[in-house]
Amino acid sequence: MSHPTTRSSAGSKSATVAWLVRRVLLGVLILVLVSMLLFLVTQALPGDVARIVLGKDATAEQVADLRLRLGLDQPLAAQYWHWLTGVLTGEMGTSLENGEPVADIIGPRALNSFTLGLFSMVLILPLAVVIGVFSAHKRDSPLDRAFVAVSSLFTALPAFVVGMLLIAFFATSVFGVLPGVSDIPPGDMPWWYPARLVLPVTTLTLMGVLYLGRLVRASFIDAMNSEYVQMAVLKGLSGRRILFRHALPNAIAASLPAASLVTAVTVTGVVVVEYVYSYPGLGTAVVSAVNSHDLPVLQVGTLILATAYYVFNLLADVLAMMGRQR
Amino acid sequence: MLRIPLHPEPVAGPRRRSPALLGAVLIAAALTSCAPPPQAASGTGGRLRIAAATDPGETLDPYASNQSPTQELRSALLYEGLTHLDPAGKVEWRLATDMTPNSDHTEWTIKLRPGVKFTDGSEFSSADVVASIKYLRDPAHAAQGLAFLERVDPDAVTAVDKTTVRVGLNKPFAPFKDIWANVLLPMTKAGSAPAKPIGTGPFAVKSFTAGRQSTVERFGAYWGEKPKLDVVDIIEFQSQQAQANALLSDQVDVASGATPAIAKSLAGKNDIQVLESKGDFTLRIGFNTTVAPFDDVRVREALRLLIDREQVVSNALGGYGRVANDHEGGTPRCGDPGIAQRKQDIEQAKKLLAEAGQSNLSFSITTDGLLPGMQELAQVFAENAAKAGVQVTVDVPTVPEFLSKWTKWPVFIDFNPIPYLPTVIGSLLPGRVANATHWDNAEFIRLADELFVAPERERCSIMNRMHRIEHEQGAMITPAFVNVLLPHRGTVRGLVPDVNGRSLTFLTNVTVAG
Repeated sequence: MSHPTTRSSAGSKSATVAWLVRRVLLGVLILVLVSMLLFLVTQALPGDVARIVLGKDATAEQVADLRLRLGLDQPLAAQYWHWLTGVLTGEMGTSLENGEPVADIIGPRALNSFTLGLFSMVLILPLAVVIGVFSAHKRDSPLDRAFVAVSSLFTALPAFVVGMLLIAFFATSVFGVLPGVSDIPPGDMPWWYPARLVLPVTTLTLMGVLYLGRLVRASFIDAMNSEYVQMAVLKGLSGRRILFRHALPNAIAASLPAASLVTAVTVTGVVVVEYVYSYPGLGTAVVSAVNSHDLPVLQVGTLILATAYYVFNLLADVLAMMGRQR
Repeated sequence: MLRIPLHPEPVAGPRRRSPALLGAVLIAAALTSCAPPPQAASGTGGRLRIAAATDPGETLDPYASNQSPTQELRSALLYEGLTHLDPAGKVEWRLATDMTPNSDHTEWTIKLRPGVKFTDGSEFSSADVVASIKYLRDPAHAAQGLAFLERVDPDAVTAVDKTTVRVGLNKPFAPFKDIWANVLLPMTKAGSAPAKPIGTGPFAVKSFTAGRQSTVERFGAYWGEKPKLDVVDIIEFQSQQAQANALLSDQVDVASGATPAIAKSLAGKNDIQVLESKGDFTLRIGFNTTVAPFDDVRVREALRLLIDREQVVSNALGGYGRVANDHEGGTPRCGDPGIAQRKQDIEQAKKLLAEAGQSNLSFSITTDGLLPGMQELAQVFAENAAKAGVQVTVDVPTVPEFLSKWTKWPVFIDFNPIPYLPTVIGSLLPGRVANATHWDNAEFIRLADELFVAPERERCSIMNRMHRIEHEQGAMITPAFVNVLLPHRGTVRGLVPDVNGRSLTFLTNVTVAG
C-alpha cells in the first residue's frame, strides 16, 4: 500500500487526507467485490435453494413455483442488482429460509458478536502490554521462556481446539464450574449472562494476549536496546523513569498497528469461537446461512464481518503511518 | 436458567486511565441502563429445558414443508389432530370422538369432541376442521402432509353441524382413523394458518425465534388432562456435542438428539440418565431401481445378503437396536410374518452377482449423515461388501446437496420414523416423492389397495403379505430397528418410552424437580 512519506507539515497533512480517502474508496470497492464474489460463490454451491426450503416432499411444480416467487429465475446480474439496490436503500430483504426480515435476524446477533469482541479486546490490550513488558523485563528467565513457549503453542493451535479444551476442563469433564454452552436467549442481552461469556471471552483473550504479548515483548526489547534508552541510562535517569517515560511509550506505539490487526483477527475469530460455544452471533448466523443458501442473511452477515475486518486493518495502517511520521 | 445480573462495580477514579478500566466503565454504564427481565415464577411441575437441533428455516406453521424434528416436536405440544398415537403406537381419539364410514368407505362422518377451546379462548368447531382439511388438501400450499390426504375430495368436505363433519373421498379408504394421527395433519383455527396458527394443544406459544429458541407455557383451559409442567423451553444447538455439553453443565434438562456414543458417554455422569425407546424406527439403504444394475432383483438380493445385521446393531448403533429383516416395522404389532431371517451369506451373494454379470460391482452410498448411525451404517456395509469383492465408497454431501438430488441418487441412506400404513402411502407406492428408490411392484400395489379397504381385523394378514414382498423383492436393505435415546437429568420425572421415538411429545406427567 502507498503512503505519504513527505515531512513538510502542510504537504504531509494533505497527502495523508488524500491517502485516507483513497483507502476508504478502495475499502468500498473491496466490499462491493466481496459481495459480488459471495453472490457468485453461493450460486456455485450444490443444491437448489427452493428445494432446500421446501424439502424432499415437495413436487417439481412446487419447487418451480417457489423459484419464481423468490426471483431465482431471473438472470444472476438482475438478482444481484436487486439485492444491491435494496441494501443501499436500507432494504436488506428477508431471509429465504423463514421469511423473517434480515435486520431482525442479524441485528441482535451483531450485538452479541460485538459484545464478545469488545469484552475480549478490553482484556487483551492491557494484559498483552503487561505480560509482554514483564516478559521482556525478565528476558531469558524461566518465566519469559515459559511465556514464549506457551504463546508459540497457542499461536499454532486453532481457536476451536482451545475452545474445546476449555469446555472439557472447566465445564464438562474436569471441573464443572462454568457453562459448557453459551446460548443467549433471544431478546436478552449477552451481559445478563456473565458466566456464559467467561469461556468464549477467555478463548479469544488467550489467543489474543499470547500473540500480541509476544509482539509487545519484542518491541519492548527493541526499545530497551535503542540508542535513546542507552543515552538515558548514560545520563543517569532512574530505571522507573526510563521504563515509563521512554521505553514503554515507544514499545506500545510500535505495537499499536499489531493491536489493530489482533482486533481485526478477533472480530473474525469470533466466528469459530461462536460455533464451539453455540453462541448466537454473526458467525453462527453465517454458518447456518451457508448451509441453507440463505443469500440475503449470508451477504449482510459477511459484509458486516468484512467491514469490521477492513476498518481495523485500515486503523492498523493509519497507526503505522503515524508511527513512521513521528 | 442461570441468569445473574451484573452489579456494576464502583467507577474508578479519574486519574486511572488504563484501557481496561475505561472498558469497565463503559460496560458498567451499559449495564446500569439495561437490567434482565424477572425470572418466571416456578409452578408445580417446573420448567423443562429441551436441547434440540437448530432449524433456521422453521416456522410455527404445522403444515409447512420440510419440517425438522425440532419443528415437529414443538407442533406436537401446540397442536392436536383428530386422532393420536399413544406411546405403544395405538391410535386413540383426540379432537374427534368417532368416525363412521358409509357402506363402501367413500364417505366418512366425523364426530368432534365438544367443549374444546383454542389457545386464544375461542371454541373449536366443525368449521375449523373443514378449513384445516381444505388448507392441507390444496396443492398450492405444498403442505407436507398432503400425500396422506390424496383420497380426500376437497370439494366434498362439509360441516354438518357444530360438531359433525362429513368428508367425501375420491376412492374408498378404510383406515381413515389412523391417518389423522399424523403430526403433519393437526387442526388449527379457521383462517389462522399459516400466518399465526392457533391450536388446541396442552401448551401455547409464549415466544418463538426461528433457529434459536421457543418457549411454550401450559394452556390453562386445555380440554384434556393438563400437563404438570408450567413452561417448556426448546433451545436449539448446532451440534449434538453442544447439546451434550449443555446437559452436562445443567443448562438443559434433556438432550433430544444423541448418538449412541454420546449417550453412552453421558450416562451416569452428573446424575444423567438415558431413556431408551425401543420401537420401529428404521435406517435403511435404498437402491434406485431406475439405475442399473439395481433394477435387477438378483443384485439387490445379493447386496442384502452381504450385510452383517448383528454388526450393524453392535457397531453402527452401539448396541441400541435390534436386527430387522428387510421390511418395515410392526406398528401395529401384527405378530411374526413368518419370514426366515436373512443372514449374511457371502458365497450366495457372489453367486447371485455372477449370475447377474456384476461380479466386479462398485458404487457409492450417499448420505447426509443427518441422523445418528447413518454414516456408520454405510461404513459397516462397505466393509461387509468388500468381502465379496464389491467396492463401496461412502459419499457424504451437505444436506442441501443431498436434498437437491433427492430421487436421483443411485444408492442412499434413508430413515423412517412412522407406522406402517403411512409408510406405505408416503414412500412404498410408486410416484411418491418420498419413494426415492422408485420401487414399483404390481403385487404390492394390489395388496395396498386391498389394505386401504380392508376391515381392521384383516389388516395384519395383508400387511404381513406386503412385508414378504418387501423382503423378497424390495429396493431397500432394512438391517435394523433403531432405539431412540434420550439423555436427561435425574431431576426430570415422568418421561415415557415411545414406540415411535417421540417421548418428548408425552409430557402430561413430566415434572422437573427444583
